[in-house]
Amino acid sequence: MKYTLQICFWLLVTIVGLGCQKSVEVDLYPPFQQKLVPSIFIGAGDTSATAYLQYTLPLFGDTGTQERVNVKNARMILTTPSGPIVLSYDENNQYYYAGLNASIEPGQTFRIDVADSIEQTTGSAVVPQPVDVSVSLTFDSSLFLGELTRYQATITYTLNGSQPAYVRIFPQLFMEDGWMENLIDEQFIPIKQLLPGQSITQQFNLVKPYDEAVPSFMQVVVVSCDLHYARYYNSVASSFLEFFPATEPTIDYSNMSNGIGIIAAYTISETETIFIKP
Amino acid sequence: MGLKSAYICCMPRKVYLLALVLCLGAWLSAHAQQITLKSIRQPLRVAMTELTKQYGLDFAYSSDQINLDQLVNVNLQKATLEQTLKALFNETDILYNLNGSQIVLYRNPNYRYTISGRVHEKGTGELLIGTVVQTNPVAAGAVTNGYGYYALSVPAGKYTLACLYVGFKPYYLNIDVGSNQTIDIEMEASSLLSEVVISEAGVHNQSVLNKVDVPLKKIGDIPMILGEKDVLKYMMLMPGLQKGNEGNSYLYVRGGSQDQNLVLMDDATIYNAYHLYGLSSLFNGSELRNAELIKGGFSSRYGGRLSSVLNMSLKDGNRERLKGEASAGLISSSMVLEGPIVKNKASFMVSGRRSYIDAMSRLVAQNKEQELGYYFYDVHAKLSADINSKNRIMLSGYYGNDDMANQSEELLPRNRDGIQWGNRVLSFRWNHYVNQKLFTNTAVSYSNYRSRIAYGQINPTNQALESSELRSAISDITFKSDIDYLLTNQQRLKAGIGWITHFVNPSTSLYRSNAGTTPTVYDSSVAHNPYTYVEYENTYANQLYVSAGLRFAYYQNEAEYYRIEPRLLIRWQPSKYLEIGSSYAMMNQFLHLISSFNGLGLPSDVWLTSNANLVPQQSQLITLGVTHNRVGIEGLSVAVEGYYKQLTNIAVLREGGSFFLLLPLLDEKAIVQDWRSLLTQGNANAYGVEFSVRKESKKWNGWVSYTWSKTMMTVDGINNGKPYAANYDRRHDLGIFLQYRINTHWKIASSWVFGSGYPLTLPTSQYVPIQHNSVYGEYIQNYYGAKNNLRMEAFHRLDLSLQYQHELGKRMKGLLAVSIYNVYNRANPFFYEITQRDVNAGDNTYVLKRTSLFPIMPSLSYSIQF
Repeated sequence: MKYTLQICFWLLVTIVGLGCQKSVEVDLYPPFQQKLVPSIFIGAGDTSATAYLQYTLPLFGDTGTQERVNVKNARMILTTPSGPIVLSYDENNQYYYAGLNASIEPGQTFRIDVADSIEQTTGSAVVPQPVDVSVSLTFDSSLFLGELTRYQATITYTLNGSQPAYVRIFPQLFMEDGWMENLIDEQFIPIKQLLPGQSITQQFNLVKPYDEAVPSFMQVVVVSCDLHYARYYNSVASSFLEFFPATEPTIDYSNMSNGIGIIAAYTISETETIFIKP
Repeated sequence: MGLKSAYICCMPRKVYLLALVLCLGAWLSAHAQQITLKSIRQPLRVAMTELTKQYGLDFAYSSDQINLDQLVNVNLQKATLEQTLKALFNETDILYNLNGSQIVLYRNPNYRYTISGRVHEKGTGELLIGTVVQTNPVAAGAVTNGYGYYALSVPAGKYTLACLYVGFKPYYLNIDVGSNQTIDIEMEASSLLSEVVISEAGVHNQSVLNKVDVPLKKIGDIPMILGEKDVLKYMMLMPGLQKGNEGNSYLYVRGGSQDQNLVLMDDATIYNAYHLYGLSSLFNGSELRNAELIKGGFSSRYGGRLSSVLNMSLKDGNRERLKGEASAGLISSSMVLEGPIVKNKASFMVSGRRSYIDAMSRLVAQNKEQELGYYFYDVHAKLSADINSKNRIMLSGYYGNDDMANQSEELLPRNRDGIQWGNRVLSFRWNHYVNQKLFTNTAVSYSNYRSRIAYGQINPTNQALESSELRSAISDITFKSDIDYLLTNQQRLKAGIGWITHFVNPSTSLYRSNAGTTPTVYDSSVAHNPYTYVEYENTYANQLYVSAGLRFAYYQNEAEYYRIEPRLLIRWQPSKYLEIGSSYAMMNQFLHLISSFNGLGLPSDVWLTSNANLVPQQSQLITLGVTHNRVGIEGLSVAVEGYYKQLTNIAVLREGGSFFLLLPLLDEKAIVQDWRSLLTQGNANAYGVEFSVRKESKKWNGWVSYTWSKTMMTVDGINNGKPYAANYDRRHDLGIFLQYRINTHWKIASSWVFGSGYPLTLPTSQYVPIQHNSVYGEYIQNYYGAKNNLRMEAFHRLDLSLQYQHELGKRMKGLLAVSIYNVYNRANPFFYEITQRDVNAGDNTYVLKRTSLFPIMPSLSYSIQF
């Protein structure tokens, strides 16, 4: 009887997970094609432009490098309101760089053209207008897992004025010794178009960076973004969640003609400084 | 004076004149007087006697033509003679003439009498749904409704009443129609594979277009995985339904997702009709009386889902004797018991099934960790009783669970470290036959689906058991009342009202420790969904059937929505065998489903209600189809149907969304508390063409069904707003079934299914996303290029089965079934993963691997019917 049951059981085992057929290597992919990935952020008030340029890496094969593969010998031209400028590769900083004739102003359009011997790509962005945003925050420090102290800031920001806008904020905590740390969103909130009068409340956290750290003041940087900035930011942040099982994949946003990379623009509108009482 | 008057003739002139004067006086008197008459549900004879006595009215008629026993309803106050006669005979087959002082009555030659009743299975008393009832020579045709009730109207005359039902011997009865009649019919099951139903009565509400009828007695003929009979898998072999996938049993109907199917069991909603890995659905057919899937041309009676209605009725139970069926298979055993409570008046049916994967694994496993801690069970039960000839009540229930223990090292209790999910359903229904033309069904039902995912650990410091749980539940309380009214033989009216209240608790997060339990409830809501509908059916010249309906639904929780849903169905039957049909339906769905693992049957599905931010889903479906039931040779039927479906506000998981973001971490709350924030909404377009060819004969039985379809979605925030193929988009679906009946004992059958690959999103390369003011620094990330950028490999499989049926006694039969699943051992894709080739061998090269679940599997099952 037991022998019969064993046969039945091992039949079952084959189907319910444990004994399922072994995984088999398959090839569903077309051959890998290396692509140019430019990344350039145009900031109002800047008098220079920097751009990163890398190649995509193959997914398969030897584990190889897990770092950015910079492209050093591409042709990169930034078309500004005052004319085209060629960006040159800076070996020390590992990006392309050029000084501008004038500082970047809201409303201006910039276009980037990138090419190597195989591929070329292009994209453009318009620098957004500054926004008027009211910021209020509460600051707290708390015990975390009974050991470390973490700082928590709850920030509410409201769009004033009459035009909708894309707004990103990022708080920075300055210590009494001058050390600065960025606080991290507790829960990812995508950048959405804010309507006049609309408010958003976000929570940010920072684990106490070192024992002697004593918070002094907090700066909340308010960034007015263009649509490309917002969409790219949202998609990159979403894809950061992919370490969770069964996560819906994120298709990274791109406004480059070859489908990968970004040219986006922003205007730092306000920097709210809030002093923290000990 | 009797009611019957003889004609006056050959009278002396003076007497005649006197009589004339008297009659004239009486006539004038009757005309002049104001008549008061009350006769509620009394025979006509009584009302006429009253009129004669009180007002001297004289009725003349032929007694073999006029039926004075028919009931009338009259309540008149000071009415004229004309008004009185009109009211009295309005609802009868009688016409009248005022002939001098006499009121001459005669039968209306155009009057149509109503023939109505119920159709039962002989020997069990089970009501038969969808039976074609017609009169020959052709005067009328009808189909029994969901409660086995039919009604048709014919002129007076002699007819043969014919009843046709798949799998049953045709039934004929000679009738002489001269009054309304109630005729209950008993049909005998046929031992043949099936009886081809070709109606002579012209087009009526019985068609293969837009729906799939499951002949429940034939479900066992289809080879199934491990011999498990399954209603849903039988349906999947039909056109318009995807043929399934490895470890996936969900229904995908005409471009709709799995949550867009309304599954009804005795008018109560079933929210999750599947067990783990699609091994089986909740229904193996033994407990069912009827199952049909409607995939288009929806009646206004149905609403709340976008793509299909799967309507199932439990057996009432044998009303004549105790019967049962017991069967044992490789993974489960089941039993059905049914019988009379009061012979021919009341009956019961109860069925139960339990899997024993867990028990068998305990017997042979070397240690606890090797055990498979999974089982499921189902219990269906029903009581039905005829209160009298006009009232019938039914109480139905379902209770079932899946339970999977987490085989962790600590071997914690299942409810603290395992997964459980299940449905509970209860419905009470009352059928009332108001009269021969009016049928009503009133139902109150309760549905509940709930799941729990728990994981625990032994705290290393104090050895206390700590666990976190995520619970999710949806419950409905539904009231509904439907009427079917036979206006004329050609015209029917359906109408109804209903009220559904949804209690939705998408997630309750619990942390349990020695210190107690701390539940946190997120997003719980109560939503009300009252509705009403009306539907009008008409048949023109026995060739053209039109059904037009309107459904109005109101939805309210924190937001309010009003929806009007027009429906139209047209069918034209230009010849006995040819039918052309077209339909339009607008549907709305106020519930949304978050699902992370499509179709695995795991409780990673969470229902949400619409609110201000999550608007109801809507679909519009247009279909056009042709079917021919005799193409060249007898028994060969062909059907072609095309559809176009537009779906709006479809809720999908947003990019970066995952069910696992909702799970509470030990000692912490879930990462995402607002489940709705994981969703986004968009639109979809689906279209396709379905072909089917079916041939039935005494020896051979089989069909081929093929569907070409395309479903494209456009969702803001997914794939950068560009269109992409839906996750369940499958372009080609083919199913072939063939059965040969060797003799009365042996049957052999095979089925082959093919489905082209589902879309798949896999990265094509990697890069480092540069961000402005990133707080995370640089990291390498997958690059996909586009959503659903690749296709899985095709799915195909051949199954075989051999059945041997034998008599075990006078009333006992045995059925042995041997089947082979996946005969040529196809490794169908279950999932893909990017992983290292062979870490143990030191080969760390990243490759893409496909995992498959089910290899070739022989199985054996045996059942006994008594």
